[in-house]
Amino acid sequence: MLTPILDFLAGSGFFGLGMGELAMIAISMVLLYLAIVKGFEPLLLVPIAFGVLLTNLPFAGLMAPPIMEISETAIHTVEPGGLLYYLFQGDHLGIFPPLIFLGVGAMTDFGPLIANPRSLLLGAAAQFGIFITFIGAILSGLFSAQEAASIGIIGGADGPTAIFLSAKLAPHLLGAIAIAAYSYMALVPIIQPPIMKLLTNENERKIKMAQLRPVSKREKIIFPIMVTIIVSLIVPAAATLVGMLMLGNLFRECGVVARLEDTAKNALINIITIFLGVTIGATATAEQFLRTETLVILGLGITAFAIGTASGVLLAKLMNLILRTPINPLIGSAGVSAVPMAARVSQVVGSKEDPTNFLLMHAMGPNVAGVIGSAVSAGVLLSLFGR
Amino acid sequence: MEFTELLKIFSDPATIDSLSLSQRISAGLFTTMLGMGITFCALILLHLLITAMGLIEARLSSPAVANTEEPEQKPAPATDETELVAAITAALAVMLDRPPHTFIVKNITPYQDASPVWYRAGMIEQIHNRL
Repeated sequence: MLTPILDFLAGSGFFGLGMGELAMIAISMVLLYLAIVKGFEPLLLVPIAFGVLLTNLPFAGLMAPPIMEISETAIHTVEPGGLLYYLFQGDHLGIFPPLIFLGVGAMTDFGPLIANPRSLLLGAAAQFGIFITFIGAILSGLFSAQEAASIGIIGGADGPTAIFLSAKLAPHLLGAIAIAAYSYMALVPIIQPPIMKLLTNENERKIKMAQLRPVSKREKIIFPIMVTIIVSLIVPAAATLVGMLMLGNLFRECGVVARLEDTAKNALINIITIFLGVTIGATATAEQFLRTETLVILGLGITAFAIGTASGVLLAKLMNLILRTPINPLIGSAGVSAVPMAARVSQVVGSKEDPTNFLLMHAMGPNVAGVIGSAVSAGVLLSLFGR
Repeated sequence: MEFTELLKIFSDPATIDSLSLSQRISAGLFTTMLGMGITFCALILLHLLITAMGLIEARLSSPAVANTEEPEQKPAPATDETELVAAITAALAVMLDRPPHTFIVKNITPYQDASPVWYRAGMIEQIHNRL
């Protein structure tokens, strides 16, 4: 009589619960706490943390691949895979991140960038973080070039780009990279201000910038088309991300497809965010996540953010030596994408020095330029190290 | 070792361990130079094109502004105003619910309305509701 009860117990999750799984469940609780109580990027961290929880429940098999049987004439599915395994194919095949970009494009106003195209240079400078971290990861001796490139892209501060690149180059690190990228994006208001203050003096922080010129509708419509053509011709590997971003933006600006714009920036992006978040979290299984490499990735990720911030500020200072109309170096730090958090940080740091100084719209220029910049850099890394 | 060869070994996870530290650093620096170079080139090209677009836009829009200003300056009183007076008198008669011969229109001056458009829209809607 005891045997069936023992059998049931052996098949229950408690039996398979190891130290690794327990640690991962604890990590998911910490992430849930940060998201729900502390409000760190909750829209992403809640699904990610729950994905971590689901994937570490023993015998539940949510990420299990299907068992296939290959006979002479056909391939049969003996046992279908887990739900999250199938949803994960959207990350694995690079489908979800570009769709997120479609929604981001529909939400983004590129007006400040068109009005002040110099912002593009600041958006490019902030990508230094990606490459310096890449070298750092290589020097650590723990990572291959593909893995190092995926870690470096955390410095782009752009979740979808980081997921897109690491899914293609180093899928086994996806969980650690995505969690690092989104956690640091939430921590931008803490990471950036000390670096910005260190590199600028009081007078520089007080620089007021001229009001941006109004941008016509025609310019706003031509912009996404032009960017798609130019960027895709220079870096074809970036066409997927930039193309989708700009398609979403064209929806927004052309004014004749309001319904598509609405779907892209609301329903579609929300649906994809659920799928993306939960499946990214689900890649963080105990055996994949509880390694020295994860700690190194977390360390390198924050370095990437810091270097990106610093190089944006430094380029702005360099441009001030050449330009007649000075720019406030605080907007340089917004070149790390993290839209619109990084731009808000520039505004807050600037207004602490002079409450009448409004830098937000000026900082939105480098901020959205950073999105294009990190997509271009990801394209370069993909074409160098993609197989 | 040639750079293309170095990069080939560098980009293959199976062979990267055969490279010395200095070779890895130089491959890393090369990647950085290439990556940042291409990123800057792409964004500088966009910068130039956006600036050019802005200049063209400024040129296109300035004659348009001049055109829209012209008709406003044309003197309107050249047309016969008796029709307008008749129309206003008829409208007043309807609104006041009195025959037109019971009152005399002495003076008509345009009302300078500085209120927002939505205010006027609301007023028109109210009038329609009462008709």
